[in-house]
Amino acid sequence: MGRIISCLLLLTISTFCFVQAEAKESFKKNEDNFFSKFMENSILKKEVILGTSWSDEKSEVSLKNSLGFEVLKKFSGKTGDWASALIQMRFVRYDHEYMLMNTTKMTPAHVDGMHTFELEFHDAYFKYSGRFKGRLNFRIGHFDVPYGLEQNVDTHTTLMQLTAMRNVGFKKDWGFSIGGQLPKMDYEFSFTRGSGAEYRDRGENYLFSGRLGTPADENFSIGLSGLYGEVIDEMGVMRGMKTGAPNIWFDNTTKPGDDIIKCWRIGLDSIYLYGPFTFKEEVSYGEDVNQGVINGVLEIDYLFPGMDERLEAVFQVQSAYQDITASGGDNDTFMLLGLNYRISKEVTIQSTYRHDLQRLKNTENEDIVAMQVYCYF
Amino acid sequence: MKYLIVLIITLSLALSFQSNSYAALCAFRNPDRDTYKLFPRATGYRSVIRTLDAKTKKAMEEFLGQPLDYDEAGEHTFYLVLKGEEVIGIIRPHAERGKYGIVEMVWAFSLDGEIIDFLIQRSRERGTDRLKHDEFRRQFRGKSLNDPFTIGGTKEINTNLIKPPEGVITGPSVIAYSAKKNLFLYKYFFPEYHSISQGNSIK
Repeated sequence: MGRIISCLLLLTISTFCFVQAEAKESFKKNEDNFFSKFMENSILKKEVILGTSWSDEKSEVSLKNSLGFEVLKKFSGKTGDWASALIQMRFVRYDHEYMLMNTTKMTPAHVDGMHTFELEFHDAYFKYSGRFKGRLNFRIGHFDVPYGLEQNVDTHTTLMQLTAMRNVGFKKDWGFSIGGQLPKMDYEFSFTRGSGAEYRDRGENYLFSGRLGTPADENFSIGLSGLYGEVIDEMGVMRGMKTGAPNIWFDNTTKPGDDIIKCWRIGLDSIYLYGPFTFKEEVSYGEDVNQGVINGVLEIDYLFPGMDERLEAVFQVQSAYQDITASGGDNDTFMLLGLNYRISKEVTIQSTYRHDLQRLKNTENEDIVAMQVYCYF
Repeated sequence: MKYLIVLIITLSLALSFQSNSYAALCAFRNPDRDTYKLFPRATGYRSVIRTLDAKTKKAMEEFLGQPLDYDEAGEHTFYLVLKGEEVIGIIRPHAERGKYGIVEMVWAFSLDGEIIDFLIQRSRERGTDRLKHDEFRRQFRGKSLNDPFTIGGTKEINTNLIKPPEGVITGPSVIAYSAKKNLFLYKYFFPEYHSISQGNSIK
């Protein structure tokens, strides 16, 4: 049902855009028609991504290629802007896109198999700002879970990702939020479905989350986040499993139904700009069901001076510590080196090398090389 | 079959647009906070997107004496600042490249084509704290397009017009060059506001 709705929505939008393209001449002749007025203060961007990676452990090439677009529309009246809407969509082809856990191949939750097409909504929301001068706005749709660095770091187009997948199993979720900018603080609190990329209602899944932070437009910003809910997180269920006869999930022989696990986190994040360096860090503590979790990331970005910000090097370390007991816990730690080069306004080449220092359970350490050509025009 | 149909639709969508939109979706981190800081009497603002065509780009480069950056063509966002329905000023967010990266500024212009003030958002340049001080910023107030912000044909600040803080080198030039660039864009995109004398309102 969700896919049918998605196709219908895409068909509607594409028809809308066809009409707009065909009506370009009439738009110029009659600027007062409804269509031309609606297209004012809109920005459309198109996107093509060609991505590939190779892992020594998997000994095979993974591919992730996509075609997409995003539309930002601002709604204005005589007294000013009162709302905005953003839709980001991708049509993605996945081939061998998975991660290993023990010897199990774990694909992303919304990806059905090793060779598949997926239609993805990323940001897809309507935000009402009214006359509150930015102090209060309301958002409904699919958007970043307000937690941690994801609030102020755009990972929509990057190979490097942060720890959202370890904290909640997804970056964006369906629901609504309230937020705003106060003189010394930004805030956002949300109530969402707890299902991630796809809207899935299993009756019990939900997520509360929120972040308070200093203004993100300063060279140094810091934030405090929290989340609590019962989320659909297949990888979280796998991480909580102890293999044996029988298998045990979170001290229970019954696997969580519908892959729903109760989780909570509190976290601290910061971003600091210093010359050509950007330092990003986030640390979170919480539980998945009854297993303690500590997740952390440290990233250092370096812009090579004198190159018009075309060349950037990135170093990142992520560590996720789970199942804290008196005897210790399991640990996923890896480091990433990245190099990004912006060929032109439209085209950026990104590359990363990931080296596992330690993996959870009996998963073998991997070395993964990835490359992505990102076109945005 | 279903995915083939979706792919065809997506491809058609991607190819259906005749004009490209080069602007970033949002270069203005906090339109609300900075707008009301720069215009305390404001009750709202309206986004306006304008496109820099090839002819104007060339004219702008001749005026500046410098080529524009590789990612500066295309669309630019301004904000009409409103008190009720009346336009009382213009906000222009702009990011200019310094030695170590982008310096993000927000310019406030009057309806007479003059600078009211500016704010610095994020900046990688040394001495940014001192550039945020009123002592430096007030030198820009009341200046307009005819003022020689930079040494002719260069990006270097004209120290006869604007005195930079001692020991701060690159940042002041970045800001002065940005002022010159954005006053040009303001005049080009909003010629109707340059000729309005004080007291007249625009709806």
